[in-house]
Amino acid sequence: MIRYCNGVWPVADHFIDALGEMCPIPIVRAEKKLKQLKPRDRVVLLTDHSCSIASVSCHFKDKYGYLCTVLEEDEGIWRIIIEKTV
Amino acid sequence: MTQPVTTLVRKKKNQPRLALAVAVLSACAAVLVRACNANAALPYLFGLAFGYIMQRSAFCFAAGFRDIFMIRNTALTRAVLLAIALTTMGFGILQLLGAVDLPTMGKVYPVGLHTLVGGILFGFGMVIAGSCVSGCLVRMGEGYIMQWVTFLGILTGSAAGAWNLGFWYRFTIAGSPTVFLPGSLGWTGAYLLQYLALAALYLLALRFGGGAFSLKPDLKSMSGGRKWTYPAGAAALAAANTALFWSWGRPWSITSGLTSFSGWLSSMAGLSPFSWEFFQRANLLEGFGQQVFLRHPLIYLSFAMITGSLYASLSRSEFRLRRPRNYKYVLSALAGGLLMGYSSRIAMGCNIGALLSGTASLSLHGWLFGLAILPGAYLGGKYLLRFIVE
Repeated sequence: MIRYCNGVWPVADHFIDALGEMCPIPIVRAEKKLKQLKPRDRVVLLTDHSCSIASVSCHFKDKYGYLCTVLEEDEGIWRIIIEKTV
Repeated sequence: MTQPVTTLVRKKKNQPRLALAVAVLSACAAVLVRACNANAALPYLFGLAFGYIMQRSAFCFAAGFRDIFMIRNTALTRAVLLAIALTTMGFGILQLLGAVDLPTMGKVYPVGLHTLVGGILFGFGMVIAGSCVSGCLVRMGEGYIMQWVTFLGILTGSAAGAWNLGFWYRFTIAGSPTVFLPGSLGWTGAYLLQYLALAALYLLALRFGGGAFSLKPDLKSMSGGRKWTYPAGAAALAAANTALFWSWGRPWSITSGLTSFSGWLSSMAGLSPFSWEFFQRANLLEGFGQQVFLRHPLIYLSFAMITGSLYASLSRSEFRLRRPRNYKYVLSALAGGLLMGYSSRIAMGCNIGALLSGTASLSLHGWLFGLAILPGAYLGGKYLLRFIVE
């Protein structure tokens, strides 16, 4: 999905379905994807791994300084949006 | 690190109500455990606490080793080091007060080749299974089907290890020294060395896989936020372990209980586990005397960890029956469980009994076990990337 942010920069969302995958595979997959992306692109990670709420945002926020938002999709399923800010 | 979570769909949540039911049932079970096996009552209650703490803080010993190699992140490595440092302090205070006697009541076991081999196998097993033994119990409570498979592997592996322990006993354990650090260095020297080593590893970890990681427990996150911080989890685990040691006289450990459970299952299946080396020898060594099979108090601690985690996940509406992604995950979970079960027998403990409680009891075997896990976890990470990641 390509969308425009403030009408200037094309922002692409990349979806990763990580349901049923254990740590740290969701992080490895998201990291691999984010390396290929442009600044302000986002990876949307769907996970049912409860540790991911802490570990994914800890990894991308504290180590890379990316923006992370955790949305609760359903009981025990989260959608984590990681935006490549730099 | 703590992340506010926005709820997308506001649906009627009945999990907290189920959590209440779990709490009431575990309170009834506590009375029952006390009546049937009085010595198991305290371990049972602390098991509930350990499970709750580990679920709420997402504390994971396996990630503390695995993430170094797989994602070059040492946030949990540092949290594990912090947990060891705080537990060491807690046990030290108990020793100072005369409440415990570390060399006899702590986890002080022979250190040798068996520790090294056990650590490497354990490290590999926990990475391919996706959790170590404590993490497995916690995830079982959260509804991960994969970890129930790992649990079967752990039980089978422990039975194999208990049966095969004689080989390791004659091969290396019998001739290996039991090194209690204050025995050779004196109390001051031992604590000095322990804390210098922990500080050095902490700095090394910070340098290797940095990233801002506040050591200060974020108190706000403990009530309002989604998860506790890792340091908060480390502090809570250390406090609970110290409290268990003080009140019950033995520190936190898991796998010898699971081995006893597995021995009981084997006897039900018509095997004769009493002839196995573990039940002949090591159970006496571990100080539980004749409390084998279902009398073993650590069985109750282990199962209570599952319940504590179930309560924690229900109370936050996080419980879900989670299916493994595909058959490769199931096989990996089973193989990892088998390896962990077997290796925890020959190394005499897992990340809890050998690493956390062992190092905090100032025993050298805890340190060697921890260092041996590193190459195992490295290889396990290679295996995951090669065969499991799509």
